Amino acid sequence: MEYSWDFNFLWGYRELILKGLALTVAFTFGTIALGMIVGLFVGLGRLSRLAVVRWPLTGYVEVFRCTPLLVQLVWFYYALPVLLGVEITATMAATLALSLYVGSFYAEIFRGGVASVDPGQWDAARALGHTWAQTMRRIVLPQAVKNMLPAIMNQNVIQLKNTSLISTVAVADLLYQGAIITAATYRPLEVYTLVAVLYFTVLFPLTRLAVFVERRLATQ
Amino acid sequence: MIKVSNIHKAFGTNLVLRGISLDVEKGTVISLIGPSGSGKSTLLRCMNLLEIPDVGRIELAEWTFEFVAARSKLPSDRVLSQYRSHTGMVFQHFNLFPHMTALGNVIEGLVTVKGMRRVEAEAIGRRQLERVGLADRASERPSRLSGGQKQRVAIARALAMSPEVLLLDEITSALDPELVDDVLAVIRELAREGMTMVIVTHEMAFAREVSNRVVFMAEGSLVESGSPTELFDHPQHDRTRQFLARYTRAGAAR
Repeated sequence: MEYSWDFNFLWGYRELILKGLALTVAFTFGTIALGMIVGLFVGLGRLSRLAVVRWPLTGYVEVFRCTPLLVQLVWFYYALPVLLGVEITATMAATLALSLYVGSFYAEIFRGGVASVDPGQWDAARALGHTWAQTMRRIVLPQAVKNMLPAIMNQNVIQLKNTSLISTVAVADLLYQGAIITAATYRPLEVYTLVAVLYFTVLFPLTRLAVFVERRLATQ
Repeated sequence: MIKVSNIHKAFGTNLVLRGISLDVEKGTVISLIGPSGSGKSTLLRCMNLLEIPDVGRIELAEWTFEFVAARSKLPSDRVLSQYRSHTGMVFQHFNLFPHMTALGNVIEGLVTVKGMRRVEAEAIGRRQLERVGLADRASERPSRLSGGQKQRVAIARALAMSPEVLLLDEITSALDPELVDDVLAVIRELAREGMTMVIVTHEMAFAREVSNRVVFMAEGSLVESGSPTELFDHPQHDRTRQFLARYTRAGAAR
């Protein structure tokens, strides 16, 4: 039997689809921002001389890197409320899981980036009288960020795709809206094809940008 | 000026400094010579507290730091930074900041550490670059400078802070032979102007020429010290004689 494709009915769902796409993008940028803050502090903390600082942070990074994001999402949504005895909305659980998950990866990127800066740069800055914070801000981070940029952009692309998992805890992202529309129209082929195309439309320019930035840095 | 007493420093189980004392008077130049691994560079790095001694005392102007093995409470980051801003150091591998221009490197300490306005800092920075003969390279990135030029920018960077003492750590060791002279000329001029300097070097002829006092170190101890004539022409210890003989032979072979 020949399947007859028909994308026209999707126009009627444009608002729902755009709402889903907006939520996906908002979640991506929101959790990237939160994750970067977490990652910066954890990454720098892991370079501390104090084992009491290093160990818990290493624990956090390894736990979040070595468990699947889907498991974390479900755990934050179903298990954490029981443990804490408080109500956690799906949005909160999703934000928490996505930010902490990506934060553990950023932490490794930041740590590696900072560690890759020549120790002589520290010597020179400290000899001039820079404090630790001044050395970081003026000397080390500007150089480290250059080394880290390709890895960060790559992680951001992965993060946008990972947000699709939040549909499993009923956050109304692009994929979730797709499922709703499918349930109403019984036309999964068209719906999920459109969903895929929309993800691609957002991500493809981002990956091109990543390649461009990487080349620019390489030629400098 | 700068006085260090009974400095001990170990890295793990490796004893690098075994009770070194040195008094550098204002306006004098002291050269530290000795085989690699004798602790010269570590002593220099202890002087500006880039390395924290395990034991010993360091005095410079109004600062006194006393270190008593495990019991000593480490000075805070702020105090250490304050202290270091009054000393200058130049490194073997230049350690210029690659993301800044030559002038940016020279004014970095003035702007960030001393909180000076950019315009004033740049005026000082340009004067210092002129002093090392690089006024025309102010807006170049370090990657576009030769080794000798990089090292002179590094010297200008240290001088811009008007340090009480300048610590030079094998500053010509990473340079091609033909670039060494330009750098040494700058140091010679500084010595003439009365800059207090402690120089770790393998350039024996230069040490003899520029120093008021030469110190020979071996295995973390100060073996002997004296005027250049005393130390180079009439060394008292066998260790010193052996060390110098190797240099004379190498020099003759050249």
